[in-house]
Amino acid sequence: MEKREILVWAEQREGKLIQASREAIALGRHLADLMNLSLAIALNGGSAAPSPHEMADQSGEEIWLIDPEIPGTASYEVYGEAVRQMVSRFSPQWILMGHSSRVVDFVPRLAVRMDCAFIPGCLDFRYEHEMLSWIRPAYEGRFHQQVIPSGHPPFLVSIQPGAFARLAFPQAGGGMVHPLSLRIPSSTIRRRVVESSAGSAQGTDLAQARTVVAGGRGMGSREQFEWIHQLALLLEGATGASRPAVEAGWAARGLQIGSSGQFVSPRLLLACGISGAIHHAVGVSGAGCIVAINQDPLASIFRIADYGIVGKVEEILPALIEELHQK
Amino acid sequence: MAVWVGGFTPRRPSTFKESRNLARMNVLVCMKQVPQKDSVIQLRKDQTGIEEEDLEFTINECDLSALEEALRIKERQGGEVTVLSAGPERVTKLLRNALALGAGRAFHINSPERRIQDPFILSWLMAQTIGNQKIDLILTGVQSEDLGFSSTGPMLAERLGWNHATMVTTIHHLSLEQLVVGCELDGGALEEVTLKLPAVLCFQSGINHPRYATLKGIMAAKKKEIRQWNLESPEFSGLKEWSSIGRLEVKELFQPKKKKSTVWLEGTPKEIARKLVDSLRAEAKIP
Repeated sequence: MEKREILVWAEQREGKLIQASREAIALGRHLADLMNLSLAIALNGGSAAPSPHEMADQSGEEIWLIDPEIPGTASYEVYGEAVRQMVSRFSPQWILMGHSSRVVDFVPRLAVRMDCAFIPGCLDFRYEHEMLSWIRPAYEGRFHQQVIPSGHPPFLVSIQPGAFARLAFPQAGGGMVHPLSLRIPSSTIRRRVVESSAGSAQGTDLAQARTVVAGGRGMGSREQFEWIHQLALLLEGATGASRPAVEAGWAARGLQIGSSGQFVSPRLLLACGISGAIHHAVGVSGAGCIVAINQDPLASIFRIADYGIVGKVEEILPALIEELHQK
Repeated sequence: MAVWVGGFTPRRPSTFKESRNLARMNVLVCMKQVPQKDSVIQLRKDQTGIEEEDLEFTINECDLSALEEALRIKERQGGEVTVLSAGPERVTKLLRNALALGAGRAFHINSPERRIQDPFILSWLMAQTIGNQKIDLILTGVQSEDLGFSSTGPMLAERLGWNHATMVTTIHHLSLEQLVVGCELDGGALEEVTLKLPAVLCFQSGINHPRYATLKGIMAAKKKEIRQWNLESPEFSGLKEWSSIGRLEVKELFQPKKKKSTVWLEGTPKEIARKLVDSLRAEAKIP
């Protein structure tokens, strides 16, 4: 048996390593160095660019390429079985993953199946007295909780995209790629992608926009959401929305920012009536200057705001539109 | 080779023998009571949780979407809707609400213990409660607004040996032979999942417009039964200590540090607007 104390489960989509998996690899290397543990990366999706060989060559990491590749349409049974086989091969202490829709689907089941802890959606870790604990959001990001796993390893941890963007991707050079042959069971559940990337399909330039004006539940009505469009026009930017505003029908689905929408990285983001729940916050973690307008002074959006305005959107936004018109 | 879904024999749907076309469904909806959105929440001094006094609680939004789907299934195909929730005495208010909306009966795992929020424990308690009930389909929300583990639904399915789908937005087809649902993936992609009953479906919020209770419904709810369990109930005798089932230990709940130092703009709306525009122009952030 080839013992590896930390195993990173890395996902690729459309030939690219997903952001959260990229960060999970960087975190895996960081923790391996910090705690003096061995690390292996299990990579699914062979035809990617950069190729696994390039990735291993540059990062210096040991990459196990899952063969045959598990298709994106495979069910949780298949993914769960794949990880179980990896566990019996490497007997890892920790399994790190990006918090993706795939992980949300299969890992809770797998955790119960193996009777192992699963700490989902982590934002940070603490290493104190030789003990590793995890920080995750609670109450829509207003608070954080510190969680430790109990029971026997492996301990499964998924991390929010953007949470570990500060850690550099390993660049030691000279890593290796090994094939990881798994016996993949046939599935009794059929999945089929019927519409991919509804967001970008609508032709918005949200992801590339230098300025984004976004509205949330606090906008209150479709009529008041019009101010978001007006401000976007005045600032020569794009309109965005948080999930509740899309759900209320005030904005098109393609304008949704966050984990189930688009990731934006504008130089200026105006967040109006948005509470800043974690699903939204991960989508704006690349933004430069953030201006937040919200009537709740404790809203978590203010934690990431450069300019904070505590007040009603129906008072502030018309004043702002008028001010911009004057010049 | 180990088979992934094994160890349990999935129970046949209770309505299996009935007419194919009728497809009456006994649906169970798992719901959580959470603090009202936008309410001001205070930390307890010992940082183990939140101060619950004076706090308004409501139904977790995506669980309410799941209840709405269950009521529509009942109206379309017949059958029964049961709601299940775990938590302290205040949860009876949630259950009464659900009964007023049209659920036929309610189950309450009544306990003030915070440890039952651990999805490993919660899914176990729920599986034990559901154990000998005749249920074809379990609906719930993807995640709770308070702790957001998004684990309880899939974990419950695993404990029952049932299939599941999560991040569900639509039920395309529901018969005793087959269930086809639409699910969300990251980045707004959509997929279609085909599975067999019995199954657990975890719904996204915002997929339907949940109904409001009518006066008639509220009156009728008063006569409906809320069946109670507590941690001493025989169904839960397997829970000898928390550590036998629980796998998560919450050490501390705390106020996160601010990531940026925020410049607060104050004054009348007009003054605020001017200050903001001046600052952003000075930094060349806006034209």
